[in-house]
Amino acid sequence: MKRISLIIIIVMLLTLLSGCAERTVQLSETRLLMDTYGTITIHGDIDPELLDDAFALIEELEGLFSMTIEGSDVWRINNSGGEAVQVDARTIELITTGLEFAELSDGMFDITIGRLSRLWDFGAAASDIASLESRVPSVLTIKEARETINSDQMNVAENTVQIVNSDAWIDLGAIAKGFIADSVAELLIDRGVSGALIDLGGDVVAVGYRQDGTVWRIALQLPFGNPGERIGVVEVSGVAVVASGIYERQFEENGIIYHHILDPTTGMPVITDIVSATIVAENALIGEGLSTIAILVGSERALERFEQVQGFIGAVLVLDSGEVLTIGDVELIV
Amino acid sequence: MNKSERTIKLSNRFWMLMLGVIVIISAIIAVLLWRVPADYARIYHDNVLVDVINLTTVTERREIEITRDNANNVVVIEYGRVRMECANCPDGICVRRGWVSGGLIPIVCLPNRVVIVFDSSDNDVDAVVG
Repeated sequence: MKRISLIIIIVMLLTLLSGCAERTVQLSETRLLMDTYGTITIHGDIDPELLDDAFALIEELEGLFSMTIEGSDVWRINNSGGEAVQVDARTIELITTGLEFAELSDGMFDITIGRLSRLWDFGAAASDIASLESRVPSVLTIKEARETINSDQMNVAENTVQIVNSDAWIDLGAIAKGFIADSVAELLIDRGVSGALIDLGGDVVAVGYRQDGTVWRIALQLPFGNPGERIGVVEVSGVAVVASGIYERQFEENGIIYHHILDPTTGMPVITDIVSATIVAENALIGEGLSTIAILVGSERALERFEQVQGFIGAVLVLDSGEVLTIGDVELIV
Repeated sequence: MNKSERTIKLSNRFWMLMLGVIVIISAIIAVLLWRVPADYARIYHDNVLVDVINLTTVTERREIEITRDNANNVVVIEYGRVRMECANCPDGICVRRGWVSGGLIPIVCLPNRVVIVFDSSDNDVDAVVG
């Protein structure tokens, strides 16, 4: 009897202690960043200051890639008057990937869209638009901005970037979050996390597993539905899940919805058969680029091309008809 | 019943009693450690914590006004739920969100940099994309 009681006591204490140990090492924080909000969750044998370091890295990279932060690499390129500008290696890497996406999309995805995206200014502050009669730019200004778009005018060298047309601006907003999410994942892995979930406003990188050892579960938002209303869930580990949709950043004027994914050929919000594209990829940079490209080129070309892209794993496309298409190795749990 | 039999019986009773006490103590500790955490709403302005509210202990409607920089937002708290009642932002997305009881998607007023995050224990997913 004594022995049995002792064994029961030991088992109970061990169970309690193991529970306590696991509970102490999961940290999560949400902050506003890059015109959106981001949540980072980490667990493992971790330094309590790691989250601060991760958010500091986000701020550092935003300071390179932002079009509006004075002195950023992108700001200096855009204000160089056509001169070559020395930039950080990470800016070169991101711009180079952006140019590859331009090729993949036959020019529909173009990082020299800066003048046009600034003109539409979907992230405008209240004070900036309060006095405007209309948020829709005039036909003339759209035409002028459209004429500056051409990524062939860019010269990218080992550590310099030049836009030959001094009127053109680059905007890395469509891929920067992906690059930043990947960089944060690398930092966290280097610093010894067992598992992490980096969620930068729709760009999610799932490192390892959840604290309980199971896969991460990512819900896919129902387009035009209430926040959190979902079309299904994907279960992942060690990959990125990134979504873009025409219902995200948009405004309504005179009964027309204007969304933020702009067609460089018309200067207007793009119209294809896709309303939402979620990409599962080896990293968030590929995921973010392809999710935007899908909406820009439509489902037919996405189906044709994506499976040949290195790092692409799968996609869930929601069409304007309501139909949900899956491509590649992705299972949507409804 | 001889003395040794009585000793064994007493000893058994003692250990049964000890076991019972340990089970009760363990249960109390387990409840304290593993109880379902209350749902909290944390209100931030410009990434600075403004207020933390335990939504399960709210007994009457409460208004929190955030007037900093150019932001002017009014957050209303009721038992188990929160809403942005009004905001001087241009899009009104935060106000249109209505009552929120928890979940992974914060109430966000990007133009005014106000975020209300929920600490919920009952989420069946880890993130929402799209």
